[in-house]
Amino acid sequence: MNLFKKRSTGSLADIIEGCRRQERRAQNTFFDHYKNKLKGLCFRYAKTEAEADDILQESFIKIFKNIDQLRDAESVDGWVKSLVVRTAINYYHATTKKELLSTSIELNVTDIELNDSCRIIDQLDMEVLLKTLNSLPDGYRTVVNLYLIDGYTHQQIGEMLGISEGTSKSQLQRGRVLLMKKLQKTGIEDYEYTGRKS
Amino acid sequence: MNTPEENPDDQLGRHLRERFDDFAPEVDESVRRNIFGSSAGISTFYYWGAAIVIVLMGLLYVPENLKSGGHREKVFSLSEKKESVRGKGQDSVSSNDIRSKTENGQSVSTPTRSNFSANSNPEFPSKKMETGPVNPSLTVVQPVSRILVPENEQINKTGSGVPAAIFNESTTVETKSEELSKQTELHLLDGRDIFFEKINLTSVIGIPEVDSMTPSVKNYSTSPTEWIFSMAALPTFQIVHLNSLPELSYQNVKFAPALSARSISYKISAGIEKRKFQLLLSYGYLRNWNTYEIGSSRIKVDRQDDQGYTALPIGELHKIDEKLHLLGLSVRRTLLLPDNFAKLNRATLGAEYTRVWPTGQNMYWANAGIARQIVDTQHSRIQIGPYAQYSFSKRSVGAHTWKSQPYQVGLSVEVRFK
Repeated sequence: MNLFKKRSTGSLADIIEGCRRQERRAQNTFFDHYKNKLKGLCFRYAKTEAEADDILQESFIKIFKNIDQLRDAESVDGWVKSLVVRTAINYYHATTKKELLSTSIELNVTDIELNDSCRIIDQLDMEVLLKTLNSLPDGYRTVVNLYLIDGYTHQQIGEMLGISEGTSKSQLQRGRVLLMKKLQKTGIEDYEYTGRKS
Repeated sequence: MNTPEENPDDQLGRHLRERFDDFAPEVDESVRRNIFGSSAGISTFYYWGAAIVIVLMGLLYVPENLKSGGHREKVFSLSEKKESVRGKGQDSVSSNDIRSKTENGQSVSTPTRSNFSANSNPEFPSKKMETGPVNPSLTVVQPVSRILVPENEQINKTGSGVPAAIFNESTTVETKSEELSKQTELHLLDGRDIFFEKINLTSVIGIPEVDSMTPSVKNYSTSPTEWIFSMAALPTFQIVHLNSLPELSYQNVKFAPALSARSISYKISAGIEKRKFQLLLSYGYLRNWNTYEIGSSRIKVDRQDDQGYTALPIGELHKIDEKLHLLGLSVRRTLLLPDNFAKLNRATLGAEYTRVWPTGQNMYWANAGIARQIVDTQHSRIQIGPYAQYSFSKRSVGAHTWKSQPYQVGLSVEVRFK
């Protein structure tokens, strides 16, 4: 007769159940399972690694606190990602909306520039690419992340940021152009640096 | 159908997603420690809170027998004291000792002093008394506030002419040795709340009903519990910690005037006091109102009279208007002030924990107050005085770059029920 029921933390569903019971072991397993992927997500929305760690930390605290709200264990990936994204947005809440409207950018982009940008994205070192993305103003960086990488619609972005759908579209356009210009500049510098080094 | 603007988005997005899809950088172990440290901190807080409450309850209701023996006598040497002396080798006597000696028809001398003039009993010095015969074997020792009488005044300790005001107070009687000493030691108990054994002097002077004499001990543990209700109006000030970044520059920060509805907070507390410790539950309303601007990259340039120019960044106006509710638990220590100290009777020092609703933040405060008693009836007292509290916690307001550390100075009214 088993006096103590051994709780398995094998499958993700078991881990989530353990987290619901506030079991430290299950929480550690959950943290280990998601930490790197979510750190990458936070890194894209943050300006620095330290801020990414702050967002990640805050996100996990929220996850463990609110995991009872997760109804279906199968949807845990989407729920966790959504929670982290919202935490990141809240982290820059004060600045996200303010910076969007204040930059004057030439919006016309040629196909050649677009192709160059895509090539640079593929070729750039991840650290440099991330640095380029992080250098965008908070508002542009947020919309670029939400739409281009994380696949949210303009309607969802509008609801998240408290802006209209049209504003989201225009900000994406500006953010994309600014990112491409930065990528091209970075790509040229990277090429020159690599060329000199070789 | 995709619009022409969406096509570059799709193309750029696809490349970005491919690059970041498997991006999973290493996580510093300190993040794990912080996460589980903070979640463990909640339960740790409850453990500490429970421990503090238990300790306080223990202090408030400590058994009498533990405390009654805790008083120690101080011995003061007084020179040029001849009327009464303390016996060598004996500190005190039982009531039987007293009776056996007084039955011989001897009387007792109450020590009088020529070097002291302080007297806390307003009735005492006004009575002119006669000196009776002195019992050489007995010494009456009284609390210092009772035995220090004005110069040249003497007290009658015998017969029916004894003033009731003297003997209703705490009085102890000690045996005296055969030899009178010119050096007298008065036994005084420390502190104004310490009490002597109460012995009716009629037993000392030979009145028959000595068996009914029952010494009683009064100590801290028998001090009554008082119920306390207090209200305070507290103009709130704050120390603002701003982390102004190049892309987030604050400007034109304005605070609410000190005495306005936008800055005054209120606090209501209720609890008990025993042995000068107060345990209070409190509710507070905290208002925090500020306006500020976030500077933008646009600059407004104005020409000045002296051919110069002023450049001001154009900012976007923001307003903070928080109406917060604070539920708290506080512990305070009451300190009695010296008499006639600016007509103030008592001071309090304390610490308080509050939970802020709706933000869910924890705040830790230190508080201090002094009060003057304006009403004193048989069952209640009302005190009023300035009160201040200071928060050690910095509250994040809006963005993480703005933190507010409030402190409050105001007026408190306290009602105590005995």
